[in-house]
Amino acid sequence: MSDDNDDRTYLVVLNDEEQYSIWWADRPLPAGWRAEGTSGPKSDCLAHIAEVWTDMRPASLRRRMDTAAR
Amino acid sequence: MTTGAASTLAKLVAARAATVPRAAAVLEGDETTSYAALAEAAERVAARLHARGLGPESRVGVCLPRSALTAAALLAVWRAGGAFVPLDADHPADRLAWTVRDADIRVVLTVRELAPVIAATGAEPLCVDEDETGVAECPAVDVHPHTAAYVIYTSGSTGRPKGVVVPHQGIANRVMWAVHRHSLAPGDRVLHKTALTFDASVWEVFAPLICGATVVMAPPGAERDPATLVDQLVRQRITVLQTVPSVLRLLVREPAWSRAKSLRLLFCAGEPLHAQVCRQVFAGVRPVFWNTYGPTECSVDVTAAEVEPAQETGPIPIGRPLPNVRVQVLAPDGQLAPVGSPGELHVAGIALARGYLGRPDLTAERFLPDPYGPPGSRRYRTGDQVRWRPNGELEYLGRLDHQLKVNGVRVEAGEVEAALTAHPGIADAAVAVRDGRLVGYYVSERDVDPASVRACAAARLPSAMVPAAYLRLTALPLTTSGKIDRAALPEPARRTGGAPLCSELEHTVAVVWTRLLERADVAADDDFFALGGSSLELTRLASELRAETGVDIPIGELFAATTVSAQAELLARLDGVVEPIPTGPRGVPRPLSSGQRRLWFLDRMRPGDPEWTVPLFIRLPATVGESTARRALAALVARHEVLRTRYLTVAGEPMQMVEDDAEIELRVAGYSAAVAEELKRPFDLSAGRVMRGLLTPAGDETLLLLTFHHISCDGASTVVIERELRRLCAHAAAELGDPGVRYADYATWQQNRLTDETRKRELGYWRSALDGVEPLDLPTDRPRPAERDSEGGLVSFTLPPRLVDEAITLGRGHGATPFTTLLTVFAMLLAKYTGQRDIPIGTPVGGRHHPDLADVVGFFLNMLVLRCDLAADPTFREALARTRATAVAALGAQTVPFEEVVEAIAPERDLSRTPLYQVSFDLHEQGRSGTAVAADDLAAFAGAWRIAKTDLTLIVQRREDGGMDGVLEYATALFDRDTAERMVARFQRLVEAAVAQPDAPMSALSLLDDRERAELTGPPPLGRPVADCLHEVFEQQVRRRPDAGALSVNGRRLTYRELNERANRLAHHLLAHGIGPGCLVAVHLERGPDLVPALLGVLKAGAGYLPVDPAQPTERVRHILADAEAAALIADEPTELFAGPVIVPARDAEALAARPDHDPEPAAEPGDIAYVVYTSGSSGRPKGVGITHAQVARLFDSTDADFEFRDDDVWTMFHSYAFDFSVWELWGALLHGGRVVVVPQMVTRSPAEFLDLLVDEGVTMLSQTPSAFSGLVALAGDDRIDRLALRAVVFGGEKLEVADLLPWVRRVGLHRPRLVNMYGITETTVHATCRVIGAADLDRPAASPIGVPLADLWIRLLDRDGRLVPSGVTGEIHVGGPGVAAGYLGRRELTAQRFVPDPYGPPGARLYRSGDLARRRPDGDLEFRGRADDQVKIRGFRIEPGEIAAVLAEHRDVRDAVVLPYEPAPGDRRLAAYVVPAASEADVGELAAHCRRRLPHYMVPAAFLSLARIPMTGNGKVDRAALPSPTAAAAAWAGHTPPSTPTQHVVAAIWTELFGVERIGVDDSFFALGGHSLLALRLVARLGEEFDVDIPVRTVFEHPTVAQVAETVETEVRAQIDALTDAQVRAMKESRA
Repeated sequence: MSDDNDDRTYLVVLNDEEQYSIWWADRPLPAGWRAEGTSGPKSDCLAHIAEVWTDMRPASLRRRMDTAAR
Repeated sequence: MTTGAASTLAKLVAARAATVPRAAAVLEGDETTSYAALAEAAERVAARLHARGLGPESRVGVCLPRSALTAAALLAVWRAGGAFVPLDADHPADRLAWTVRDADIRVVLTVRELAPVIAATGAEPLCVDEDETGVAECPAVDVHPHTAAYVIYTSGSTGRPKGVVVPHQGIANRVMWAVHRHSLAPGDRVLHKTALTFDASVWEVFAPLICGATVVMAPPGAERDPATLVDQLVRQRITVLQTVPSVLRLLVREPAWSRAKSLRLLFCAGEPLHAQVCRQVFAGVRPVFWNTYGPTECSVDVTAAEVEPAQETGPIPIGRPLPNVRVQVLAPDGQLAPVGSPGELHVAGIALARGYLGRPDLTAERFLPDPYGPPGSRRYRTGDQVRWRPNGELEYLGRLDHQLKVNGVRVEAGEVEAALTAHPGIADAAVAVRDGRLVGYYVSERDVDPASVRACAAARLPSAMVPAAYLRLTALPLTTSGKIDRAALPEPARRTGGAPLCSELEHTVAVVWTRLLERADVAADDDFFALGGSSLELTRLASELRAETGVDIPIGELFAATTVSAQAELLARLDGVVEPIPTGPRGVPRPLSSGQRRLWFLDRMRPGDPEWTVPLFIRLPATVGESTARRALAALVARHEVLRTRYLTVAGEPMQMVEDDAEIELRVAGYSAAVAEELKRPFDLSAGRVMRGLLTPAGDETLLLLTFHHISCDGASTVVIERELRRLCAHAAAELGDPGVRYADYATWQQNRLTDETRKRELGYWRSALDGVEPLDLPTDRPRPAERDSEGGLVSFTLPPRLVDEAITLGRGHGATPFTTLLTVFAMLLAKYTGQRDIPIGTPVGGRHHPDLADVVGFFLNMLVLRCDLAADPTFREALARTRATAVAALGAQTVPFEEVVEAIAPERDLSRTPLYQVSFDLHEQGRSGTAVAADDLAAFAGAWRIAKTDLTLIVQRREDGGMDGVLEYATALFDRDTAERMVARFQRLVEAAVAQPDAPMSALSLLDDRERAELTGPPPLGRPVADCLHEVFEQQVRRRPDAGALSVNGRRLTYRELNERANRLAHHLLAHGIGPGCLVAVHLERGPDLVPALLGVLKAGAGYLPVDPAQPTERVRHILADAEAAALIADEPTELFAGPVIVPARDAEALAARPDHDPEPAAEPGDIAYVVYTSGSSGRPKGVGITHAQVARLFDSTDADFEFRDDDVWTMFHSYAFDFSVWELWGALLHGGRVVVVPQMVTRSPAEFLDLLVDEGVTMLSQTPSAFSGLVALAGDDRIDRLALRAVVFGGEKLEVADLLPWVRRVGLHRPRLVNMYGITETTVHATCRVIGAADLDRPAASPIGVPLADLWIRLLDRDGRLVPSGVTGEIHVGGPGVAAGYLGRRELTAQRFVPDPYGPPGARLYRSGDLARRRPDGDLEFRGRADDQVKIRGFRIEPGEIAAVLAEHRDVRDAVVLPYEPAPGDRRLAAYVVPAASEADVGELAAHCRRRLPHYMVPAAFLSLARIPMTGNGKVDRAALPSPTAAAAAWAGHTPPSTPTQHVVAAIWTELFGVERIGVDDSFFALGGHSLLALRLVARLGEEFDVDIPVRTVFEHPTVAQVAETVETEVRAQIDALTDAQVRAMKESRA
């Protein structure tokens, strides 16, 4: 995955902490990760993530802080 | 450890504060902050943060100089629940502001001093060094393991940095590991020195604080200053240290490193660590040493390895994962890489950062699903390539992407490139790491000043990311796929400048650079970074400059002043003013500078010698006529006192006197002839004539040639003069300003400024550096005259830009300047020419050690001797490193004047050469104005140059096109122009070779060009196959002319038939004794009638003969008989010497007569041994050489063309038949039908009788050793000479001194007989070369020409490494071809040693290694140079005694002479001359004087012995053993003789006064008593006072004893009286009366 001209297809994926990442479309997803629905070239996936992952705090921290704030 | 611990770092510190409140938490200098105080301070700041609404996930800037407050500030942020974001106040303001915005920082913890900087970023500065009132406490804050602990920005590939958000659990895990794994505990002192902007700093602060240990705050900036760091280690008794390898390398070089005994734990991270550095660590101290690895994205470190002290080489592994960290090595396909296979390192587990602040896409790209971890877990793609070692450790291999590391700092190429392209003039940019430093490449349409690029980068990037060097490219190199080909980015030019160092401060700065960068020859406009300096070293530079000058320089200022001159200016500015050079009195004699003294002294040695002429060519407009030039010169002379200074002596001390005005000497003349004349004209220092001009109209311009005496001008002065003169010629009233200092003031200042301490240190250096240095013994075309001749010539050459570029690039790779690089090549050239491996080379240095001297005209140069070490056949790379080290060290000792070095090391002048070095080298950078090698005038100049300052001087100068112009100045007394031309061609070839094969040993770098190599290794000649044995050829002559005379002996003649019959009878007799092929028959006969028949008879029997001359000692005979396993012995008398059959011709006459007289059946083959000759061995045991029939036969075949052997030739058998020269004499006659006359023993010893024999017998072919022939030469005046029938005289067996032949040649000429010198060796069948002596040989009487190899032989001259030497260079003679013997009888080992494979000959060919030296002249002829082991070294001088003997023999009172070394005491080696006087007794004193006139002093024999004749061995060579020992005579020579004449008494009294020694003998040498050149001046002055005579100082060097000085004085006084008129004499007498 280090090469610059990677023409493989990727999926946008996220885990329970709602941390986003990408994964090869043709490989089984690791446990604890689900496909977000977007797939395509790496750059497209990353561009999509840049749009949707707005709060980068892990979900558990987010919830805890929300609780504390209330 | 669980995540539960994660939030507790701050709490753990608080807990410590509760349990050990008074313990030292922080140590800063001498100030301690207790845990309680720290906690309290943190609480107060936390409250202030809380008061501003900051809590979890708030990012708080921290911008503090390192201090106790730092720890409090970091703790406070955590206490408040926030994440700290370290900010560096030194970063560009734009970048700070950008970071504040990117991290959304509202508040920055800082100090008052920095508050304005922070305010400018838009954030609120919160000063921790002031208190705030009205702030409540900070309440307890809930911190989650995922809560951000800090955000640290790292370089970003997209052009902007990215903030890594590290949660508490990650950093806590790392800090806990440090504490638990390494048992950190109270008492430990951890040095906090890493800048906060690097994440590694975090554990330095918190690891000690959570365990009750102490954080020691290193002073700000210490992280870049190794000296300060080591000082801290020692002073603060640090136990734990973390550093990057590039700093560690510097730390271990600090002398105090080994004193850091308290250090128990050492961590290295951030860069690959190599065992070499670790070894150096362990050499000083023995800490437990860990190598750790981790990216910022993984909480500092994720793996660690303990460094194994036993590991000697290679990279240190990065080890195993830390607790709670998992690592995976993935192959490119995403699968786990097997052990040993490289793959990308992925990290998973608790250490992972949350991601990049506000960069979801980047985060998603680098933090990926981890299929091997717990569900939903991520792993971080490090971009690092690693592999598993079988032992479970990871090994770091490198980066996969464009991320670079410079000194441990991560640099994304993209970010730096973005900063570069921000420059308005730059279209495209790239960066790469070259030589450990960051290089920026840019593409621009217009010429962009690199300084502006640097400024642009510095405005946007942290200093560590600012490229050190900049290179403009026309386009960036691209790979086929269109990406930047980073590997193809060129090495940047190392040097930007080359301007001479002008001021004292520049000199100081350059010396510091030299030391720091380990580079010699730093120029004033060199750039620190371009020379390889790094920002790390900049700090060191600041502290060293502080140490040298006492001036404190802020690092930031140094960043802005990166050249030597800029830094010198900076120092001057910071220090106020440099002490001016004081002004002295005018109109009185003033002392000289050291350089002036040297030149004045040299001028005294040879008054008016043009050697010290400095020429300056200036091209002026044609409008400049004589009047303008004269006016300009007058103005120039008025400006510069040194140009109107005369030199005088006051009480033996030289002084200078500035004249008010001086006559301007300006001639107008035509060009070429006048130039040569101008360069030759002497100067008169005592009259102040030190400058003159020659004006020459040259078409559309005017050429002004100014010549100066060096005492008034040097290279840098010519630049000043040219500049001023141009302006003076252009404008009559040109305002030039004050030239600054007057030279005489400089001279006084210079004498005072060299402190005793500096002098002692520098002289100490030179004493040890030059200890045992020997003169460079160049192979000269002519013998070195007794006194050096300064006449010289010049050849010029050009090195093409490509070659120069390659050479310089190669040198730069080793930290060598172009100077050092070319010097190394030159040293190699000289090594190859001389065979020496210790090459002293002189080089000038500028010497202008004060800023006010920049525009002063005068002589400032100093000379250094660089002793280049080329021992042990180094590669060019190795040699470069050695030369560089030598140059660096020498430059550190350049203040002490060269003349003082000479006096300290070599006070006794050898007038035949310049002291300490005989070859010099200099490199002028471009821009130095036209003097020595201005390209345009080169041709005219080279043609006109007539001076050689030493044997050889090589000067190279940069050309505009990147190439170099060079000139080689050579002493014409020693070298021919051809030789110098070949030398420069070989220099160029050697540059090529060194560049092409830098890793090849020096011996493999050839000076030969292809043509010369082809000539030297061409296909070997083929001789005619030999079908018949020697005796068979003889038998053919018998059949052809049976009644012709074959042998004359003792007045009897034998015809061929008679000789044949006698030989046949003996042969049959031997055959009857069972002696035949394969046998050796010893022949032990006087030179009577039986000898030749016996030799023939042995061959006819099919055996070989073994000559055993009865003249030899019995023991030797016994040894030879036994060693050769002789089958029989033929002797004059029965003997006990031999146990086998002995044939005594007289006794066995009857038996012999009974034998048949017909030819025996042929039994031998041409390949059988014909004879065995024993030669003396170096071990003292003679060794037998067997030569075959075929080898002798081919000897005559291959020389027939030279001699045209005839059947009416008469030969002599003069030499012992045990000496193989006799083989030539005997078979030369018998194979060709000629007659051989056996010369009776008595006659060989009497030249007169021998002459009779030659006349009476009508000898045509004479063979002689030169020693033997000298008897005939002595008779050259004899009438009988006219009656000689000789057609050839062949010399062999010894070195021929052509000079010895002169009386003969003058009388007889060269044609009838021809004189033929043949070099040969028993092992190669008598002769190997042939040279007919011609008139040309007589012109170079010192050379011993031996000609070319015989037609079927070849000679290779090899150096000590077995490589072919080029023409002109001395090498050992190796003979190949069919003449070479099979070997030594029964001596396999010795045979293998002397008969060696011929690497250039036909397969399997051998060479005989002769042990003789020769060199090849350009025309291919060889010149004999003596035995390799005969050469004598006397006080380091290599001497050929034969040369001295030849000089002695020139004297009319000497008939013959031999010179040999002897040792009156062990180690005290001297020369003894054995002289055979021509008439009665020769005057020893006269002979010694004769030698002194013609030879260098070290070649003058110490003892002279008179002999009736020179004893000879049976072979006609000098019998060394029979020479008397000179010891007794020498003792008398050296004895004490008190002064006797009145003059001697006075001279001795002066010596007592000078040396403080009472007992002076007339033979005591001035120098042996400790005299030196300055003392010699005083001696001359005292002699002048006492005797009113003017003795030239050089006579003291030539005639250094009391007796000689007294004699000189008397001669001089007599000459003066003779010159007086009678009236004057009378007047004197009257005045006395």
